[in-house]
Amino acid sequence: MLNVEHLSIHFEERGKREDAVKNVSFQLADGEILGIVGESGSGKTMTALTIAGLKKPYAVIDGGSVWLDGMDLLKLDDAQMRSVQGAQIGMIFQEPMSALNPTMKIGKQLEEVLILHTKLSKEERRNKVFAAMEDVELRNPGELYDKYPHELSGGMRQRAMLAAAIVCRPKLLIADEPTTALDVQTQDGILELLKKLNQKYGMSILFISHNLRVVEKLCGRVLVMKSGEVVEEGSVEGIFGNPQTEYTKELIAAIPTACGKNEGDKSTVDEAGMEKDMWEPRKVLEVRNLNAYYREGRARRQILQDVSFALYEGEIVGLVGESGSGKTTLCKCVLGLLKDYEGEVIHHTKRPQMIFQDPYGSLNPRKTIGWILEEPLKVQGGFTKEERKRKAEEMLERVHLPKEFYKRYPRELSGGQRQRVSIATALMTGTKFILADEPLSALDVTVQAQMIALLKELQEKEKICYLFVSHDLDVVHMLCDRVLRVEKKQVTV
Amino acid sequence: MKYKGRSYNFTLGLGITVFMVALILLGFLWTPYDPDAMQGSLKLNAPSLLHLFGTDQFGRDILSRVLVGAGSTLVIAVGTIVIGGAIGVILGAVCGYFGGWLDEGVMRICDALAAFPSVLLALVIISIAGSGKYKVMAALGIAFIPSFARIVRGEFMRLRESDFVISARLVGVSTPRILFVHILPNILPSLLSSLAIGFNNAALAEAGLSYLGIGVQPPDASLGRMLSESQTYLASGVWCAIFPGIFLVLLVLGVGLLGEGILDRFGGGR
Amino acid sequence: MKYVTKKILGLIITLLIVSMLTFFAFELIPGDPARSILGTDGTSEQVQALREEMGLNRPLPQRYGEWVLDFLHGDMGNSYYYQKSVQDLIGDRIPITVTMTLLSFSMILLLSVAVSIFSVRYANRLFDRIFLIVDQVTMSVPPFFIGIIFTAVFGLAFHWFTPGGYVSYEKDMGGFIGYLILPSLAIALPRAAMAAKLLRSSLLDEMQKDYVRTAYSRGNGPWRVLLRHVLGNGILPVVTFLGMTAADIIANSIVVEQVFGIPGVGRMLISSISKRDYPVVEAIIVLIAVVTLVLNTLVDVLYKKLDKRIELI
Repeated sequence: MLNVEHLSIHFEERGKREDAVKNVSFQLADGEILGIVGESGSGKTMTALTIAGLKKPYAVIDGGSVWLDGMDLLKLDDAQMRSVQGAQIGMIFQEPMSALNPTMKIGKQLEEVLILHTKLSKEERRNKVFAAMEDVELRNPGELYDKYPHELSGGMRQRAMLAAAIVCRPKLLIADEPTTALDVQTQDGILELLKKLNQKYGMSILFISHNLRVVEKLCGRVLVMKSGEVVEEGSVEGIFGNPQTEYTKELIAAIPTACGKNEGDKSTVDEAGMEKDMWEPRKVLEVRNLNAYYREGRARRQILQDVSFALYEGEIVGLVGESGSGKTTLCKCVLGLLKDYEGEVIHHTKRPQMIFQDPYGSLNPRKTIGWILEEPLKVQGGFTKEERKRKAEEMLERVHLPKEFYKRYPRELSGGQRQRVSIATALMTGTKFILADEPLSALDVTVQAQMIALLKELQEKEKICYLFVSHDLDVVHMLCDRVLRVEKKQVTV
Repeated sequence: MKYKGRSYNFTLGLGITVFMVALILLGFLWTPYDPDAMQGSLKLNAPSLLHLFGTDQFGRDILSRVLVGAGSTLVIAVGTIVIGGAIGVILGAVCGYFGGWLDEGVMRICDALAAFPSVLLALVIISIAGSGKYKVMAALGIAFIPSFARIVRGEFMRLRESDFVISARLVGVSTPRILFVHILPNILPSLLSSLAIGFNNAALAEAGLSYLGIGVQPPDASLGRMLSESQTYLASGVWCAIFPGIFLVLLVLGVGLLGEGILDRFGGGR
Repeated sequence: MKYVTKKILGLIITLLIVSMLTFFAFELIPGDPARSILGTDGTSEQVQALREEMGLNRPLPQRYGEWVLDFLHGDMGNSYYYQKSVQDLIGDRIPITVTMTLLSFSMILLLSVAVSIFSVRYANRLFDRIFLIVDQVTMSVPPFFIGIIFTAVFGLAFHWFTPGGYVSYEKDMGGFIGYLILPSLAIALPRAAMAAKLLRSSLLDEMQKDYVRTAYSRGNGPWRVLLRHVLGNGILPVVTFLGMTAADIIANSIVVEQVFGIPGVGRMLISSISKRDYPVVEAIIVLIAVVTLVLNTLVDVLYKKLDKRIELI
């Protein structure tokens, strides 16, 4: 049904040429679900956008063709392509909040597709919209019709996107990372739904993702892309059971798995057990009977109630909980950023440090890496300029960055490199306790694996204790020795 | 994503600004003729090689008067942004970073002051204190405090919660150092561009006040008053209006482009 | 609703501060109002009597209170110069200034929206490039200079109107509006240029957003995407700017009324300042501040109403 032949695309910006897609060919049969996996920059999204006629003007097609039921989409003019978009090709995207028009009612956004592609009456359109909403298992379509995107949950938004994409019953659905922005339970719901729609209407699905676990669940066949080329292609069983290329093996190895670690071993060790351990680990942080509050106008809401726990040198402790459960409040108390609490937070080490989720915001953009690294030393005082520089360069080596980065600015570094600088800055203070707030979620999978290796290395070599905040349970289980769960104002181990 | 094509605002703006300011500074030292010397035989002469911009109803050389008048404009506009900028930055930084009742109070007064269009506020101050070059400067300076304070406050509030500032607090950096070493460099582009906008507003306000006859007073020359006087002779000496006006427009255009160029080139932070 | 209440409370407090600042600022003026009215001929007994009559001997806070109450009742005091009440003096001038402000505002809105939409539709093409240059220059021209150019071109060269030939609205409504069009345009042009520039960059930002891609993926054409999807979102950041425009128009109308010889509130203000007729100046200034503040509050509430839908982004 869909036949992509020798597709090549390059970017052209300010006279610089960069190949984005190189000679890519593949087929998609009626009713098939094909996955394309790869990291950012692999060309998978560019391929999908080109099929859907949505490539940016600076992306230039060098050659190839995209056949959809015997018609070459790349040869259509704009008006012809518009009649295909939405009617024969439906598309859903990664971030359902930004992909929906924030100031247009959900119902209107669905109806628009019908206005553009059919001559149905108002009444018929409304019925079709309701039917599509039922197809994607949205309850109360009548009520949702008049709601705005921000009034829906993430999962519901993605379902609404999906409803708009299928309301004209397209033959092909292109899904570009549709589950990436959602939490795990919602992800599974969307995947189930895609499977159901695929079976019910025989709709082919092109599924783009960087998450191999998700692809494994949904797709029958997989294409692995790297730097614009298809490096491997085969059935899901073939790719996962017997990967042929180094790159695919690397990707599979980077999948965090819950069984990658013997769970019964450490995660059940309670505090008493830890203290009886051979090397008598020292406490780095103690929280006793913590009650924390949040002020909302005049009302004072209790967020945490009677929370107690301790963290020890050289351990990695996961902190999980739904959003809004009080995770952030707990972190703020631990860091001393929130003063409105009762109980005790005792640090047995130097100031606690923090690594942030967004590697682009956590380094001062106007300063060099060297300046940022030296700042903790300037605060402590008592170092000469040469000593500071020597220590900063040593620290760069400890987090496996080249010494030359001393003179660089944050904007010249990649996301993973910036996270390394953040860790280095934290270590410069001499602390043994680092709070890491989703430090991996903004990074590519292979970079994630390298970061995990670094965190572990520092844990073992320098006895650093991490409190690791994450919503990705797989990563938490793989990395952490124990897990703290925040739920209903309480923390359970 | 950058839009296609490179921005020439900075280069062009800097070029025009430097050229205009150089001309005006030259006017402080030397003018082709005495700007106040009247010559009955040369009334309302059209532009010629001797008098590039022509002469006015008293036979005075318009080029010389434009240079001297633009000098007053420059002095007043610079003085305004120095007064308004210095006080505004300090108020905005402190209010934005600390928040609380201090912020609430200062911003309330700023709101009240901002309710008056800045020209109007200057009018009030002038009507109470009287007109003249330095009084206009002080009046405009005070009138411009709220706008600077608001911009700086907004930026400090935004950056107060940013990851790199929290990170600096955790490291133990002192508050003044966070304010002026960590945050201030990051708002410099937007501060400079708002200073450019402030300069232009001040220059235009001064010209407007002088046009109304309540700004710069004789014997100080002023572009606004030249324009006001030119209206009577618009039919017979259109150059009396055109040249002072264009001179003012070019100065404002140059500084405006420069302000935007600063944002294009150094703004954004990343 | 809570937001609106909070805004109105804030407005009242700000209005109080404004009235206090104005009242006490005018108290600071050296010289005795009674003396100014009577001139140098008045004897000191006469001055004393007049002071008593005007209530100038009572304590300051009490006089402030009475001044505010009188103002709320529409009594704005008496002119020193004209021996008339201020409300009578400015009453028939207000419609002139209001008409000009409304005309200007509509022009700003129409011009900026129309031009920026074309400019975004043809971004980086010839129309857009010419627009950017013309826009930047227009932004730099003071309204009163535009007014002088209009007078020279349309008045003296083309004879489309008689400079200084203002037509009263009581005599001829059509002629009145006709005479106000060029002054309003002079005020509107620089401000419209600024609004168009803001709107253009806001619309271009919106064009990069994901929902635009979604709209295209459903088969929308470029004009439909621009008008149905992007404009509604892109105009939001400009709403605040348009709100502040009211203050700017009023300020510029003071000068432009002078250029075209229009007997509006602004001209009254200027002539009163040069005559040191303080009650008139005080009343006009408070009036302008009140109008500006109320408009700003309205815009804030309107913005919140539009913005409510996207605050979670």
